[in-house]
Amino acid sequence: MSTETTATEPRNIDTPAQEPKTARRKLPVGVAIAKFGLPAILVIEIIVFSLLSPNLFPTASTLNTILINQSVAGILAIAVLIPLVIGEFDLSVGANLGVGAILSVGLSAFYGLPAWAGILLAIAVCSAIGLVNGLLITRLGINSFVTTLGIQTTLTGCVLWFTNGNVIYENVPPELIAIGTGNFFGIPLPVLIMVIIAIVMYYVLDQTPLGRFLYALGGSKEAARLSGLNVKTLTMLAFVLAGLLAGIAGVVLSAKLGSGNPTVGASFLLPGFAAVFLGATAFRPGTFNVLGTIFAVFVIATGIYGLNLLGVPFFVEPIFTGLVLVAAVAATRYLRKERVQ
Amino acid sequence: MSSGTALSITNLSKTFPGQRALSEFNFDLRPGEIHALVGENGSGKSTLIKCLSGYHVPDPGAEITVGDQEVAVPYGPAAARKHGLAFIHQDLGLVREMSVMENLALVRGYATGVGKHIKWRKEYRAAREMLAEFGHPEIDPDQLVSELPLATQTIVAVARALHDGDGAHVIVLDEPTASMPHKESQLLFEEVRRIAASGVAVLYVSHRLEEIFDLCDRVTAIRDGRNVGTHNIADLDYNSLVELIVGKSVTPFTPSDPATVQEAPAIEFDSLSGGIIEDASGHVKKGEIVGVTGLLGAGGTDLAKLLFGAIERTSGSVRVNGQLVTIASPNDAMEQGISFVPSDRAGEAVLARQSMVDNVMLVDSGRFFKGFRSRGREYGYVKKLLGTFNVKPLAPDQEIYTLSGGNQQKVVLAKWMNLAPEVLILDEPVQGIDIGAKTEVYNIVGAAAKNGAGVIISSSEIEDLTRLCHRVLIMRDGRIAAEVTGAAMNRENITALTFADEPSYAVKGEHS
Repeated sequence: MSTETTATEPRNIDTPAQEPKTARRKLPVGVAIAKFGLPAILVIEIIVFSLLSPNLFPTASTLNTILINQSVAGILAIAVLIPLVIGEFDLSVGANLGVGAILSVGLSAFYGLPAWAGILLAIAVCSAIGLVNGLLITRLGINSFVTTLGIQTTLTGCVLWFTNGNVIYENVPPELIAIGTGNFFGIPLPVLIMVIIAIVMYYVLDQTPLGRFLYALGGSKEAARLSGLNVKTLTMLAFVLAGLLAGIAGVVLSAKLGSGNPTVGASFLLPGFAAVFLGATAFRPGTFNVLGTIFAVFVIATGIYGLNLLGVPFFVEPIFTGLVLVAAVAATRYLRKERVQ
Repeated sequence: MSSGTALSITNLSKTFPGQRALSEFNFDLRPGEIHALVGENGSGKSTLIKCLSGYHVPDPGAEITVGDQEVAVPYGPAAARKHGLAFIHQDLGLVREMSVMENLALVRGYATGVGKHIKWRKEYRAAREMLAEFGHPEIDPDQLVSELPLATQTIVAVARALHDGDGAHVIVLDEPTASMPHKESQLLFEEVRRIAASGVAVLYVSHRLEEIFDLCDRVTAIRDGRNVGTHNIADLDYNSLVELIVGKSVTPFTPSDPATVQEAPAIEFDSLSGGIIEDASGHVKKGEIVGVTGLLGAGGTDLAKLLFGAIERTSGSVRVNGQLVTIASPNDAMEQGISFVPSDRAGEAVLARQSMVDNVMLVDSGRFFKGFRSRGREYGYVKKLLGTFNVKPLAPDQEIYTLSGGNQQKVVLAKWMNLAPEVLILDEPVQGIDIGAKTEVYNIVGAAAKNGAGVIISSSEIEDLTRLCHRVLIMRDGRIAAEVTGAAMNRENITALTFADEPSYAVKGEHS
């Protein structure tokens, strides 16, 4: 994901390290397998856990639990994905999710706003925070890692300020809770929301010129600029989208919990990154992509759920997620190298 | 230094999976000679150098002798250095943000005192002495490498390599002048001659054939991994050398045809300033090819980028097809039918890790978009397009970095020519590409002019410009200092004009 092109490097360096090949190389076996590695791992997980735990694992309730629990994580992972596509980090989406979560409850609970207004306003604020990230990065030229790290910490503080550190249990608007518990032809609403977002973002990134532009920024900002793209606008757009999705994820989280929790947001950040990097090993190996990200979320979640059913202790979850993140990045690097050879 | 041979290679082969990069290569170098190694990209040149430097393990059976000593093959980079083989690669291997002194010390080892603290003053004196001994007392050990002109940086790298260990028998210079302006190259050549005179054998790798005639004693050509001949340079002329490299006689590119120039101007600019450009006025007619040249940092790149809206314009006006237009961004320029091929291919022209289709369609993304992207139609379209540009391999879904420099450049040209530009601007379009591709690139430019495009080509290849262009502008210090055409458009005249009234020659890592 190295996208920086520094002006200080000497001119005229061609990319290939070796004598260039003239013949078309076949896709290396490793890459070909990796393409469908994630769906394969998911199937293997399901088979293994079903065999090891035939009474508890292969049930409708397992499916429901995993799907509903991971809907927020899935939306947030896509929020992490979009800035990564353009070669930037957004470390603030977790805290921004927290903002969405407490505002969607708090604006109604504290200030008596109608539920729909609270929800829309919450999402608007989160998008605006994305815009602030984008402005700081493009106008002041601060790098995205530092900018969003600072904003993340600031937001965490603001959320504690707004709630005084307490979970908002009272006066939670019933319409909000209805989103968390309702369903549409049997599909739980949180799952439906995640699926719609995934489809829309897949469409945008994979099928439209806009998606092509965003990937071009990830390739080389200067090449993108000299191809007529407005790099600043596109960068801001990516951060606004990340903010918007973090806000929606926050609303869905509160709807599911039936309360506004000021501390839970940040815990979604790292699993989000883990999913995006793991997702980049599949479908379009070496490229951040929506389909891979969503599959990665469920591969990780299914693994953890299955391990829990088998009785492994509670602390296994973060260990598992952390190792998956490192392994995924290593795998991505390896796949890229294999293609360089 | 012994007489006879400084380096002798017998039966050196290197096989990669599915490809034989070097075949039974035999070769020797005499002490004190400057020996050119030439070959197209992909001919096995880099593989040879990497085998010598200990980076690649050659196939069994090779014998390598340095000086009088036979070196056990395979060996690693450390052993290569120990035996007196020094390598200066194009990126020099210097840490740009460190001082000259520290760069020297990184290899020689720091002068340390108690507790391994660095004795800076002693270090400074040692560096100073060494540079003086090497004939360059004027280089300040405290200066950052990035602040030095490229030629001086190269000299530092050479000095460092020659002083490594017991001193080198052989020094390999890999395309040291590829991004160096003419005058700096001359400085470096003096240095190379001096080193050779001291008895070191110099293996000089370059794409620039003119300088090989200026500098070298013998030349070895490599093609398809084989040594296709070692000759005294005096026995060859330009065309026979090219033939040796390519394996067949190369059709030189089509020279400019005065008949393609139309009356109407394609682009006119008046009192244009921005970047380092000051008060530039001029025009390019439809069908005309105008060259822009000058020393590095004289303004060729800036003028190109300014006209394309990639550098902010501070004053002046631009007309395209006679209409006054505002060009504040590359996008504005593209809307006016201007295309721009940047010089820095890896950093500015290509999306290295994306496919040829994605690279080409980036500026034409609406063509097949009807709510959904039609990858099949894009693929077919780009394949046809790249076919007409003779891109090899013609596999449009392959990532572009896997291609040779010349083929990458043809893809970049295809991307921009696809927009049917009325004004085509190119910055150093043949930098780092081989002879065959060079001819193709120039012919594409010529064809664009024939089709009525106004072409501006910024380049340091003066010889080529005199053949390709109808007119040549000479830049000095950000100004258009002179214009030549007709008989005055020759190499000597233009070279002289690039230097005229420039007492203080200072290039400080200037870039675009």
